[in-house]
Amino acid sequence: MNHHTTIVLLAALLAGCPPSGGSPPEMPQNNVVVQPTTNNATSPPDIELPPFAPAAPKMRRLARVEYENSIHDIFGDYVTIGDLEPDTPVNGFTSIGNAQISTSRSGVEKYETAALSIAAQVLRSPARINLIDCVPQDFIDGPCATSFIASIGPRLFRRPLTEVEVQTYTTVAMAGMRDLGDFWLGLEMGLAGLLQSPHFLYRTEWGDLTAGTEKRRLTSYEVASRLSYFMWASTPDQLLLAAAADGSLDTDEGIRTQVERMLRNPRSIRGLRTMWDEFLQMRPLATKVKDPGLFPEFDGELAAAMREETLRVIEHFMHADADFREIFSTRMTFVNARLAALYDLDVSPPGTEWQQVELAEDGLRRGILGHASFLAGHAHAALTSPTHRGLFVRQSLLCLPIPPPPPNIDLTIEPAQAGETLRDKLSVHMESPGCSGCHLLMDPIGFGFENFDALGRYRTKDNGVIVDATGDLDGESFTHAGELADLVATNPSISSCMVRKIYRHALGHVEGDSEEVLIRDLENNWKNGGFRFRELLYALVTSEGFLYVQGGE
Amino acid sequence: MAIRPLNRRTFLRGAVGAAAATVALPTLEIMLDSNGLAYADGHGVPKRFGIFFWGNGVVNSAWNPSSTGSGSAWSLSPELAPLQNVKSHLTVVSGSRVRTANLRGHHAGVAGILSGANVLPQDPGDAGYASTFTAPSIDQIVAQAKAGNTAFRSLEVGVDERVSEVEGTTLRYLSHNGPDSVNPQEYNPAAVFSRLFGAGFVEPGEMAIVDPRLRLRRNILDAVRTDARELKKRLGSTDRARLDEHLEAIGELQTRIEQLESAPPATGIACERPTEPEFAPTTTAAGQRARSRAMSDLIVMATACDVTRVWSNLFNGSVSGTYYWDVDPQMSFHQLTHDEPGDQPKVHQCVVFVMEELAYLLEQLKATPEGAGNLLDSMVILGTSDVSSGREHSLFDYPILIAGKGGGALKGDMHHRIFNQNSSHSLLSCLHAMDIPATEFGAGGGYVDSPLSEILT
Repeated sequence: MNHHTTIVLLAALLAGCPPSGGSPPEMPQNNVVVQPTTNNATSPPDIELPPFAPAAPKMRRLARVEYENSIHDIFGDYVTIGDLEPDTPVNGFTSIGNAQISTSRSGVEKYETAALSIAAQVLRSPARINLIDCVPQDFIDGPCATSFIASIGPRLFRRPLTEVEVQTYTTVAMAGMRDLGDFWLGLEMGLAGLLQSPHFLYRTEWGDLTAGTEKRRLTSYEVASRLSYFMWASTPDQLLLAAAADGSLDTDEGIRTQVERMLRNPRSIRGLRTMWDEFLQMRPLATKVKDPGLFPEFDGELAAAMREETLRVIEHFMHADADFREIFSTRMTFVNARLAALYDLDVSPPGTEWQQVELAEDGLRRGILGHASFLAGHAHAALTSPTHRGLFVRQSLLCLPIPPPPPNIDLTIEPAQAGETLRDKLSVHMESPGCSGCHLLMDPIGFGFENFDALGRYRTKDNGVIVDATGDLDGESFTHAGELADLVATNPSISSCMVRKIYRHALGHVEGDSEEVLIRDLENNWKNGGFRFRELLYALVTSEGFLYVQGGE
Repeated sequence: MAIRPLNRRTFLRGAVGAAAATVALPTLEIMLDSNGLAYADGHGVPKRFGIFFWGNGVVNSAWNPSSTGSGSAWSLSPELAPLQNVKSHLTVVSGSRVRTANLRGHHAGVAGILSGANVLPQDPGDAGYASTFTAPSIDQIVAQAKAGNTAFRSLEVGVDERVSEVEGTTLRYLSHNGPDSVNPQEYNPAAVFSRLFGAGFVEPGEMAIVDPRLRLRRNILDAVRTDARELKKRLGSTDRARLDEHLEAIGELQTRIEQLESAPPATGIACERPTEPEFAPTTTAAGQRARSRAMSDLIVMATACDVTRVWSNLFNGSVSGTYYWDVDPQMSFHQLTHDEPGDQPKVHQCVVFVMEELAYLLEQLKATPEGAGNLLDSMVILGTSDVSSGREHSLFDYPILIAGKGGGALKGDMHHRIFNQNSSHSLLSCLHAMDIPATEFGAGGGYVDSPLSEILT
């Protein structure tokens, strides 16, 4: 547990969660006995942070999408990949899970199958002439094989190959040529080998071993990989590898130049979407279940449109010269015909087109928390869930933790009677001493969204009763979702949490105590610059957290 | 090898699928011989181990049989009623308690029951809860000891894919090798088919054409291992262990490829290549049943052909977004356990659905002949869940059943109640039934050093 977490949890505990009365059995004991100076969860007591030191290097397995993108970017979109080892997000991010979870036996089998299949597709395609600069003189042609391995290897390993590596895979290819009696079939074996090498499947970031003992700067090729997998969810392109080779990535200006170029490339949309999908928990939307009786219009296409809307708004503000926190308060959004119908708008974009619209000023739908991706994504099949919606806002957007429900307690709520809203039912949680401590941290936020049903449609009544959407966020009260949107956008925790989450995703670990000071710096600089998203990106990728790993070993 | 003395297909047609009227097969030495004497270890039929697991628990009052004892002394409870045709092969152990720490609802029970050890929380507060196992799940302990030379060390399948995906490995996967090291389950029956019975599988009596690429594939993997050696030198200890696991898996794959190069036909009198199953989406009850049965058929044939001796089936995940559509399309199974008031009749129906599908699997195993008996005779199958009552996340009065006779090691047809005793006793009993000479199982609160002698012969 790091400083940030300890302090915030402590504040949560002092705010009455879990309750002091009747502690349930087998509740994990919290060992923290520090005397706090404040009980306001959003402004933790100012304690002295340890000086910055980068995290220890880690070996990071390519995520499924990173593997796929890398292959497509190197060889072309025509290549079919097949099944790969599943990703396992930990602490919200695949990048964290893939830096700590081992590759399974079946995963290794799948990597072999995929490698053989990709090699066959690539080297039996007419496009193979673009990958090789020699004409084989016989079915065994060593120099031509060497030339191929030496030229394709760096794309796959994301750095130049050593002589030994070139030799290793050339030998494999030549054994294939001999046994199969064909140059190209043999070459497939060499390529299949490169594709199964840990140098392709994993990203290792151990830095320049000749420099520094306390901390080591990453080699320029490692910087290129960090940049490209962060920005593009894919392998570095030729230009980025060239920048690594000529030393351009050794300076902040050089990195910034590349990042500006990478942001202009459509691959950045694809890449950063992998981050937003996890940050905003939008992946489960694809398999989300809605009651077909109540919501016959809900299908995979509508779910995909919900996600698309949110990503488009985020991308708009990523590139705009504007305060990025407006994603939570803006009335601007993008809709297609399906969403326009869901939101009861007067527009109907034709076919698959998307249209930028300005939502009515007197409406309650604002920002990405007014999007169906959030409202439907954090609701049950038939009913809304103020608890889940509040939990998402508090824990995922504000980085304020909430302890889990204690084991061995009955969590059942009685079904609603006529004339009773879900809010009325949940009042059981708010009043019961066993529940109120934690539910007070979630439900009063979630009540703000009660004007939107489990699919995200606007409503004024729940179970026939006028909705009461009043609540409070960290002690600041609101009367409806529109006001709540503004409170979220300006809450001090929203920007710090965003910095934290992006840092975790980019670096593949939850920040340690010695990185806390850097996170705070990034946050302050971002604030001082008016929360321009691109400035945060530039600051992050040129920070010591991004460019250095711990020395030693 | 080209001529078969007996046509197995003809012979089996009367037996498979006729659960109520299982044909008692004599030991057909000639058939065993025709298949190259099925079991090279000379001990006859090998023992097999399986786990059938569902998340979110049971309704205790409907799960526990009302009386204890053997044979006619006990009868099945309402929740276990679907298992009537295999009651002879069933041992129900009720009343026990997962004694590892209940650190977090669902997580603690999965690790506690399957590994006998505490779950390992990986929760840095605001980063969202995550956990993994601290010790291997029992299927991997068995696989380590009993996989033999089978083509696959263990087989992992799942039925409903709506598992909880973002809280680390504990809820996402069943089979664990240790912390952050798992054997992911496969949800697509066609993929399981292709892995087990696709290229490289040779039916008994078939002659295979050996692919010249097999040797080259081993050669590639040799090169990869050499290449990895350089990398390993630079890694920290945790990553070195991860890379070692990867390299061990490569080694196992090489062994498998080497086996394929000699193309040995599969063994087992009931073994034949099954037909390739179709993909069934689990968005309806019928689809869930279709997928479950396709997986069960594959497990049965994988057992009959002895391509693996250890399997696990994650029927539905813990917590998870699984719906039992005919029970309630508005409330997920997990949500029902928390929100359904009273005696939870809907939760009960969900469990009955799961038990019906377990019954299908067990009946198919029982209907498939082997040696002097059937496949279920040779098996030890642990059926259990991640909590006792989902409503309270309780770990006492735990649902545990052991199906199969363990090659005669389990008495079967028994309800044994051990109130408040350690659930690990049942797991150590499973190891003993598998002839694994373990003297202890579990760690910390989950540690035991004695099996349940009452259920063993």
